[in-house]
Amino acid sequence: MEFWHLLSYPFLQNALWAASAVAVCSAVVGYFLLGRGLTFAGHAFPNIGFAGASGAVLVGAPPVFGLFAFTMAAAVAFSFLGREARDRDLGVGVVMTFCLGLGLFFMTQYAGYAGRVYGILFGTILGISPLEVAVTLGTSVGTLACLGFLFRPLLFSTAAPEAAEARGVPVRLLSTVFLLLVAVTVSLAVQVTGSLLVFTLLVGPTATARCWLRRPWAVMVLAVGLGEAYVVAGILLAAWTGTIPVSFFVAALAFLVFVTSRWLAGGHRWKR
Amino acid sequence: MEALIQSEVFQNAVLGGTLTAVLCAAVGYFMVLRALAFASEALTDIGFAGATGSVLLGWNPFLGMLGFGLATVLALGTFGHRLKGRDVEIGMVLSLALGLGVLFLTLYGHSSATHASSGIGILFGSLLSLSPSVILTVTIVTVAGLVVVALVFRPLLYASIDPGTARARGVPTRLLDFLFLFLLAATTAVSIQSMGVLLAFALLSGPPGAAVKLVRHPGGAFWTALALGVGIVWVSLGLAFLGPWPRIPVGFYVATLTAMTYAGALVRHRFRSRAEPEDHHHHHDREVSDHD
Repeated sequence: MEFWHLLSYPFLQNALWAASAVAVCSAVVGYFLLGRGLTFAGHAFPNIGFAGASGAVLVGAPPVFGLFAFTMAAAVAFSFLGREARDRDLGVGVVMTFCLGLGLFFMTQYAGYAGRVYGILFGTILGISPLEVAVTLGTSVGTLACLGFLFRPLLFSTAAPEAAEARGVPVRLLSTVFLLLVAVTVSLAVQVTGSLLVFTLLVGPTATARCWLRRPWAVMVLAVGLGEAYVVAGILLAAWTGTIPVSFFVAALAFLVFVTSRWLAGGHRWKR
Repeated sequence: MEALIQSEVFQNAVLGGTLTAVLCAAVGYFMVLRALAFASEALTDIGFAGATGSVLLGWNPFLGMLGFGLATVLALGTFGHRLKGRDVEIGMVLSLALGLGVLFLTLYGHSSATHASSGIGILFGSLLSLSPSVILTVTIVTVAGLVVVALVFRPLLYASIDPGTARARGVPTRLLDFLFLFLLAATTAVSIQSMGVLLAFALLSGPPGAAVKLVRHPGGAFWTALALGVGIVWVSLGLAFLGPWPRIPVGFYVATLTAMTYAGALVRHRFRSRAEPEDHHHHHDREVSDHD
């Protein structure tokens, strides 16, 4: 098939719009996620969302409601887990496996819908409708506006939580609000990339950008650019090959660029 | 009842479940002390890539998982004990593993019609569908793993709690770091066989996490973890086989009981530390987390 001819297909244009919005949001949220040492939570959220989505399918509601309900509940639960990394990671892991157990329960109560569950796990970006694109774009703009509004206090409390607290920044509240924003972003992204690979878009771009740059703004801009490049390339490659899923290309690209950057940048910027 | 006990499904489930619970608790105890929760979760997803890849190539899934896990451990193990601060690197490996798993599953789907359900089968395995050959591999790996844990128990404990002092005293901490990661890779492979990829982490993290909160003495915590793990599996199997709800899967019971156990331990721990704020348990906590 002619490669550039692909761009004229409406389904592909829909996919590109929705994925672009998700990539921008994920990259910006991912910057704070990594800064706060919440990488594991970034992995847990999509899995928790998967449980919510399969529960919604079971009761006949649109999956997106289940996604939002479960990820937001998890956001509130995570904000109680405390700051010490060891306890927090275990708590996140236990909440995640509990939700996956629930997801398994929902799945077994509803015979013969492996296909839909499969769609939640692996994403259906190439089958997304214009309405879903509009909702995704709208919610992404909303999430970015919230992040822009909270930008300075969020950055301060990410970089130096104790100092921020001493200066009167409501650190605990901010942390809960931030986790809720992660929940929104993940719920959007699950529909695009599937719950297994939301994580790539959250962590990949920022991880690579941090190899090269230091200043928060610069890292974020580079991360957004990288995220965009990954999803656009992933969608075009997937549409071109016809069989291989978008999420594989996105994950493979993100990994290759990260490993190359880490190697070229010598890792010296990483030693804190 | 007697017919149930004599049925092969029941016997395999009890044997496989008990072995998995014991190995997961024994290795998971050190995983908790070393703060490697995220690395272990990543190993389960790497097992997903290994299992789907082996199914595609017609290999034994267990050996495939083990192979992928050991290769990753060799790559990640170069970070040694510092691995616990390396969330981003672990995360990138995890994301690649998931991508590969999706790719293998898709390619496999084109050669077979049972695409979606085979994928779901790997993601959510079940104690009730363990075949005799799987039981055999699970038994061999569990016995071997427990022998290794027993042989290096004291130095491994020392190196996990206080790596700095252990190294100064001549304990080969770097070797133990690698050995432990190998153990962890083998344990996750066993756990995936019994519980599926997505729930493999439950028995590895819940019982030891709860035990460390409940019991202060290291040996006591180790045995508590074992007892909790085996107890959770037995109660789950009992509910699945004898409970009035035949359509509820075992994995759901295991995940729910694990979460309840951990939550209970956290609540108890919080009440106790409020009652005696300056106990040495806190000191011990800090010691473990300070050696980055």
